[in-house]
Amino acid sequence: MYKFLRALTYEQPGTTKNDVIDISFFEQIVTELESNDGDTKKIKDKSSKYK
Amino acid sequence: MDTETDTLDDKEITDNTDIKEKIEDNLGTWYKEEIQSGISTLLKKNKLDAYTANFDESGKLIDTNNIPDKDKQKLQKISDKIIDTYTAKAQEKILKDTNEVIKSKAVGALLQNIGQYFKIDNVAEEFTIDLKSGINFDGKELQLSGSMEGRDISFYYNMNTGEVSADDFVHYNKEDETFYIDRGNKDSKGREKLSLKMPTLTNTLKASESVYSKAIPDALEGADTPDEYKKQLNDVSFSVNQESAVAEIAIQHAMEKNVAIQETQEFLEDYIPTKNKYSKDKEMREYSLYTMIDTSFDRYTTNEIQQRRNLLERFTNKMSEENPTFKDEMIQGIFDEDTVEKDTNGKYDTNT
Repeated sequence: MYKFLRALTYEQPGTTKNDVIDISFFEQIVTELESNDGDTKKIKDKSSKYK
Repeated sequence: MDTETDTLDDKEITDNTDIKEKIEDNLGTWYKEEIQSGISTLLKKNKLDAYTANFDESGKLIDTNNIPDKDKQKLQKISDKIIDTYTAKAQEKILKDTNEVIKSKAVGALLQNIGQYFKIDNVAEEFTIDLKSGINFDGKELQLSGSMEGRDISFYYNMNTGEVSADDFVHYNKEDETFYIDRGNKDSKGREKLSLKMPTLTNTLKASESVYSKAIPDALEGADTPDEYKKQLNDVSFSVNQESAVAEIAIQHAMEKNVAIQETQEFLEDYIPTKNKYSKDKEMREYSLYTMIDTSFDRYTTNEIQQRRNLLERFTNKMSEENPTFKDEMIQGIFDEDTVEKDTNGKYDTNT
């Protein structure tokens, strides 16, 4: 769960406390989970954290 | 509603010329029986009973033409004593009542002002406050405790500084050097200061004092009893109208954030054990997880928080399906027994 939540984050430049859960990325994952039985392969390619 | 102002020690007015001038006119109406009784007692004591009719209702000596000078002096002393006694009594009550009205109106106006952002008047809205137990004032801080979608939220309005804070979910207590991940309470003292400024009590008391000092003569004029004076004064309206779009945004954001973060904690409780406090040395990683969530909600707009709540609900629904199938390794890994056990032990899914 920890790693999953980390995978949903993005970093904003110029900030020190910079880990924020990326809503649009989360949206893509949820949509894929709902529509394709959890095939998030396409999404994985978009984020180096999501491996 | 518990907004007693007894704890406000300072008296806004200690003297008032209008009160002094007007009180004498009201003595006969307000204390007629007590004054007559007092005069009778003193007359009997001085064996001057024959002069009972030479005092009016307010204790003034009247019809003195036929009174011998030696008695007149004694009677005047009795009159002065009675008038001084009841003037002092009336003045003390009027000042006390006036100060109470000034204070209660000031606090009430500030409560009403901040209430507009919570829509307290319209309890059918999302955020509800129990008007009997949800509003407390200790002389310095106004605490507003309500609920939104079944989750408790408290706001704290420091009336000395005008600062407003809300329960803080993730916080570090400097006193015991411990991280806390829960709603703020007396023990953990976790609060988050909101970026808004409300009117202060000091300034509002001055404004209230100005309004009610001017209202004193009319209120005295129309009062048949001392208690009626306070009612007359209370009928004079006083309000603080601070129109602040920032305040509305900040408070609504804090409410939405508070609900969302509680929802998230409920979701995570299934996978990560919850504790009231977190050791700084051993569980920095867990704290980091929650600060990430906390930071996210700080950065989101209110609409984005709602969007994120909706996503979590959809995600949870998908996960709770009977035998859900996921091709994704990470999604699979989150919910397999090994990962859950590692999470529970505080090791997390470091190997997946």
